[in-house]
Amino acid sequence: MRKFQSLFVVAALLLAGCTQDPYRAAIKASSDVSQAVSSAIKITASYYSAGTINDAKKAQVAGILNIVTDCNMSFRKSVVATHTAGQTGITAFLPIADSFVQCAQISPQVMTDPTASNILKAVDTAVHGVSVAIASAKGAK
Amino acid sequence: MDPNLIVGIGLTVLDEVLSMIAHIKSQNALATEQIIALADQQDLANKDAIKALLAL
Repeated sequence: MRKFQSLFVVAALLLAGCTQDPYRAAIKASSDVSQAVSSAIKITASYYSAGTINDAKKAQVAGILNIVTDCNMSFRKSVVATHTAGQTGITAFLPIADSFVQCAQISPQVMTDPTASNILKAVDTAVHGVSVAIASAKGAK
Repeated sequence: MDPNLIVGIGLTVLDEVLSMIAHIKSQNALATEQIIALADQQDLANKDAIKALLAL
């Protein structure tokens, strides 16, 4: 089921990129990350209530989701500022996306844990998909 | 694990998959500025939800 969630995120990001200008593609991709984080929070609470994860794991996942959210808010702010400055090309937005992906990157060690990976996979896919969505957007390079 | 708990987790995940589909569909009808406003709201709600998650 969580694989389906990741697939939906990938499909959304690719569709966002193919049919939109880089600015809109970036904003939609950022919004997808917000939605994926929201889902991950609810799934984490569900896992915790069921006793599948302990306090330490819950705190670890919450910390990661908090970092991703902060990075995403900064990313969206930078994207809006770039758009407001009159820049429209893909090359104006790709470095911002790369910074975001670095900022919000989930460490590979965390993803080797099956439970954490189950919770965070859709978020990780959405984060990495931001650059893909912008790179595949319409518009001047 | 208790089967009821497994069903509970499965329903939560299913609900989130449906939310993702609704989210993807709804974005197409919105102007970019509207998507920004909704994403800003979602991020603030996420910050509050993370605090609540930590307090569980």
